[in-house]
Amino acid sequence: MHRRRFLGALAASMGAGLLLPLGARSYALSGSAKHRFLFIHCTGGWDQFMVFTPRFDPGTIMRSEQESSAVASESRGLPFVDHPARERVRAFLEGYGAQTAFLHGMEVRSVAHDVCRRLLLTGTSRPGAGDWGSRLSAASPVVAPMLVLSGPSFAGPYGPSVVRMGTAGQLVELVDGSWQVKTAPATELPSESVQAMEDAFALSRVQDFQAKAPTGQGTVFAQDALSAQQRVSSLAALADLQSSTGQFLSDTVEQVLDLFERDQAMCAAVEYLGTGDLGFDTHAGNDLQSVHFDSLFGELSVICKSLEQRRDTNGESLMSNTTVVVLSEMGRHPKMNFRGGREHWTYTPAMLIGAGVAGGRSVGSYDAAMQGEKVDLESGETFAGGEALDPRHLGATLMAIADQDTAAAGVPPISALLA
Amino acid sequence: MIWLLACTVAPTELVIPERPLEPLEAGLLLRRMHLDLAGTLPSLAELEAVRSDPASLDAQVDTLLDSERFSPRFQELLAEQWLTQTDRTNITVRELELDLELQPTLARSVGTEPLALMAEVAAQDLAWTETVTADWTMANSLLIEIWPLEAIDRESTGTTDWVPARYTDGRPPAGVAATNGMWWRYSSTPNNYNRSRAAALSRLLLCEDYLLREVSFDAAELADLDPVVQATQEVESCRSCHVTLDPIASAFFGYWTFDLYDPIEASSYHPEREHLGRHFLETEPAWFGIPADDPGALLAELSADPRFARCAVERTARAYWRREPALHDFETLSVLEQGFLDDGQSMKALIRNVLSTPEYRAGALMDSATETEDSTRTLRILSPDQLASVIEQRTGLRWTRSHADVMWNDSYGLRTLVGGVDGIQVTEAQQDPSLTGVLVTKRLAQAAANHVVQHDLDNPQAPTLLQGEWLASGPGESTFDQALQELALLLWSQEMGQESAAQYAAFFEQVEQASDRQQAWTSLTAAMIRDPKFWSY
Repeated sequence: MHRRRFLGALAASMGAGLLLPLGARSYALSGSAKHRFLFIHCTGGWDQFMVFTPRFDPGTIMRSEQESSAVASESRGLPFVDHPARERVRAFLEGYGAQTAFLHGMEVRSVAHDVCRRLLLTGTSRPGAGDWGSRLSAASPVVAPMLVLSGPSFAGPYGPSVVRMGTAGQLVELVDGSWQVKTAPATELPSESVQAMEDAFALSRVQDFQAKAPTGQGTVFAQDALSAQQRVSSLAALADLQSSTGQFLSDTVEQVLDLFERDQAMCAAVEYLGTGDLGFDTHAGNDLQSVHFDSLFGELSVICKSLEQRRDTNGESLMSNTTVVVLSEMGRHPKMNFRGGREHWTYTPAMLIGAGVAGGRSVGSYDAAMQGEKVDLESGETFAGGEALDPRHLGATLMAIADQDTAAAGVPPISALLA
Repeated sequence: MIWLLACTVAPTELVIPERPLEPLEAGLLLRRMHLDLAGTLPSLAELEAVRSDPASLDAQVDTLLDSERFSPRFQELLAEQWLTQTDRTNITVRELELDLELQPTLARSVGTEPLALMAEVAAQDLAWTETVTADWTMANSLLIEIWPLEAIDRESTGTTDWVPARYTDGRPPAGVAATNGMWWRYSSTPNNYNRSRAAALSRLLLCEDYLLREVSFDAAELADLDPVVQATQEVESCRSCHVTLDPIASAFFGYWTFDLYDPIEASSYHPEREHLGRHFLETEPAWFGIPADDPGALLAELSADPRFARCAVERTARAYWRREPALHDFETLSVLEQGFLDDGQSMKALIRNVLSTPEYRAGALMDSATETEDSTRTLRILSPDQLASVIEQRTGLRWTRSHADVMWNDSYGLRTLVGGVDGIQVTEAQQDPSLTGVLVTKRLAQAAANHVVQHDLDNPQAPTLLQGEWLASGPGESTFDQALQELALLLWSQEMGQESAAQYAAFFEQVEQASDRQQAWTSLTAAMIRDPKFWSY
């Protein structure tokens, strides 16, 4: 039998019970459905020297570029930049540093926001790839495998597992039907029983479509259609979500944790624009980064406390099975510009908090020119014969945390970051 | 099998490489062509014509290319790649002192300007080089009100509010590169000095993306330099891009603004600033070494660059094949490019040729297909724009919220939820079914079915979709059976098989028992819209 015919026959034979997409998605089948990821994207490019990288040593270009009251400090094994204006950074690290790891010196190889976002979140600059969240959750059977509340999103070939909230919370209105009366013309919904009949019939039509799908791409397309149709009714579980617009980060995340608690989402992504939603792109007035970081770490403390207090359906603490990944698409230039801001920099750190993470560990470093140095992935030590870090290492590490096949990332995981 | 492409307008005959792909049945292929060229479904008469004479498909393509719907549909395809139709603009109705309700219309209008210009060039069958050399643009009444534009007396295919217009602020003619719509989307910051604009031009018009280049920065060199312009000129890894990028950026200082949020600054061209590139970037304006004093001269050079025509072919193939061209497409693209050049860069002729490729017409793979063919899209999904237009065509529903079409925006609407791009956060159109796409289709089907059944019950003399005698009928009656078949042709462009007809009849009876006949017709219509035979093609 021809390979594609075989795939088609396989899909047809599995019929309505098949929730898992075929082809490129199948690598994720081994993943644990119980591990969760929360991605927080700090849009604009954060200043890695303001918190993560305490470089005050003579001979580096940072020597004269740090804030006047900033000092090198350490908490729970994590070196960081301490400053009186950022008390909440210290407070967070004192509280949760033991569960937090810093990853330094990831090269994003561009200084353009859109390219860096794609590189950071997918590991490649080429179009068509899915982001880490959609890849990690591709095989998850939960209601919202990858919930995008806000921020950049690359669904790639993983559309059936990506649930978009909409900038004004449109998803919830669609789910509960209130959307129908807010549009013109307003529509009266049929009774619940008739809607159930409509949904059941729609599913049967997609099953029929899938059974007769053409070979090749058509097989995958029809399987995606079936997978999406099978999941759509379960979206009712998301009816109490609220738009993240105008909310504090921790309030938005609380909604995600509600879903984690009920085992209804595996990954979620939310954008953080800092105080006043002004973003991190500080080509002028770099002091704003300080305000943003203080606020961010304050929010992270609230989130972590909630993770500790909440229990999932198995009675386990969410902190024990949730990894928080805090990212920004690029870093900022070591030298201040004449506007009191910093230009873009091709190296950016990431922060991993919670389950599966070797806490209190700082992996990667910068040389005297603030260029990321090569790292021995096993030990996490700077090593000239090691690997230069890029976003694929981050992706592989997340896959390893989720107990998924890391080969898809194309590089090994950073074992030193794994608990 | 050798594919011969015969053009009506330009009699170039191309020999396209064969591929192990089975073409769609004629009726379904007509549906695909209708949706791609007009965003609408074929009529029963058109369907009957190609089914009885498949050779008439090419004539149908010509008719569609000359239809009023071609231009707006072509704009929609361009929008997916140009990413100009965003919800956010630096200048909003607030700065322009317009009614707040106009914000979605403003954003949509601004983003549409360059697309409308390109679509007009295609619809008028002008040489594609006109898109970068034209001394005119397209504008609607809102843009004419807020920008230094005047409508001009010029033959146009514009069917709605959009008319040919010309800027009155002395900007050099440069087609899309002389539109505010382009530069409001691809704006520059005070320290970016138009480089992002130069990069956008290269990406969109040459298919060469500076931002995708593998660059290895020597950070030690870079960090020691101040200011940045010194690095771009002295560091080799920077120079490799900036030596050509910066001279292009230097030509656009007439569009450079000191305040991104000042509507007067951002709306007008500033001839007195043209020289600033030499000052800020320390480089003369030039197109890859050819001096070009202003955007007009630069775009004229661009239009003569062989990469321009090649890129137009690649982007057109991408739009209609619904995937990125790959290495194995090289031979086909080369043939298409030669045809495009032979046809005087006629976009219509190019589209006609792309639609004749086995890649476009594929409905299945032959047994001899190899893995190369796995990327061929034998099934496509309706885009938000297509979904909106076919629903309006068949049911009369135009779904709006806060005075804006819900498929056109994300602030109030559903564009990205149903698979579209927002131009900023979501930059790739979803090509496969998605969870939220299925949910939106469900609600849209309910709204459309409710709307059309009520309308057709109220207007039996002039129904939109459902004839009066159909609405009075039920399963077991020949009128009902006939209605099912005709609805299938109208919505799916194919008959409903016996088994499916029986299932639909049983579903109708089930709903009627639980409710009434009107609801049964509403649910049946909604079910046919939710059926993959409607939203895939």
